[in-house]
Amino acid sequence: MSWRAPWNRRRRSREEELDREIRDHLELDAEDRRAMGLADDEAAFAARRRFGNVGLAKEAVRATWRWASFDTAQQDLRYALRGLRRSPAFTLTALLSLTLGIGANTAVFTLINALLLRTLPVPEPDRLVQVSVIEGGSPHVNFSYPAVRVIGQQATAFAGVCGFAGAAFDVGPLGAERAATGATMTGDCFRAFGVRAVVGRTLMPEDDQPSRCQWARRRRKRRVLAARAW
Amino acid sequence: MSAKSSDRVELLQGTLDMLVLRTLIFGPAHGHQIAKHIEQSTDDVLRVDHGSLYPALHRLVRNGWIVAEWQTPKDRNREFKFYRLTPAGRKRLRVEESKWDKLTRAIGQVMRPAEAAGGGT
Repeated sequence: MSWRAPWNRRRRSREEELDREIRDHLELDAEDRRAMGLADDEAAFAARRRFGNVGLAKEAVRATWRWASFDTAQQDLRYALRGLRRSPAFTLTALLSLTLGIGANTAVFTLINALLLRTLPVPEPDRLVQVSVIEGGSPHVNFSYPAVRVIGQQATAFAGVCGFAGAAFDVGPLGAERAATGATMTGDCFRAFGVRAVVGRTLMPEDDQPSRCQWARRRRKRRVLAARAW
Repeated sequence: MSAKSSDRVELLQGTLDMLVLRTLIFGPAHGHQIAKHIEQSTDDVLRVDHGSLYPALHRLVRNGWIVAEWQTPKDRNREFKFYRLTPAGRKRLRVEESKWDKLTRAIGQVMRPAEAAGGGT
């Protein structure tokens, strides 16, 4: 009888081993019974009867495996917790970096989600594109007003072209203005986005034209209030 | 040699583990040898479904009291799964034995008070 070195042992799955182990048992038992004078099939039958329900036995063995993996998982968890308690500086550092890392990522994602990922509330958001110019290897999305006009007039690929820039306004009666954020937009924006006004009208391309009268120019600034500001 | 089925006794819960450990004191054995040994050494009185031996063996392996190894016996040409007692298993067997002694003594005192007390009062 020789013990096999562990590195020589062919790796079998637990299930295969259990299968073979029980088959071996039934064979050896039948062998004994044949030696006592039983016929082949009688010996095999007697061995089976003595063994009992094979499926039940296998299931009971598998249950011990399940408990084993549950046990080791619990042990691992306890071991980890004990280790963390023993080195509070490490625990604190790890906890802090995790907190900051997750927090920062959440903040960045929230921003990106709001700016880029969430589709705009317009009828056909999938048809919106952002125009950019690649200059010196990097894309630029900033255009002068004349450039926006040229694109709007000459680019036939677009149903409409909108140029806009963020802007801050003072809103309210004279002397009691409040700061409000908004955007200056070209006249075609609302038509291009397919957004209509609930009350009054939105900006139109005609609004882009400066007034001929010099003194009236100030009064030609037209505004559209967003529903939220309303 | 073989007991009549009416003479057979169902094994007490938990005692199978102890019997397996005790059997392996004599050296490594595979499942069938262990089953046969338990049957023969009790004159076939103890009734153990051979199938119930395997959950017990795997439970003992899990607890680290025995280890399993595939090896080829001298009179065979292929491997069988042999179980071997570990030092922890040996220690466990001593614990189980002393618990068993206490249990049988206690039950004996209830069932046969005079004998257990050694004749005195």
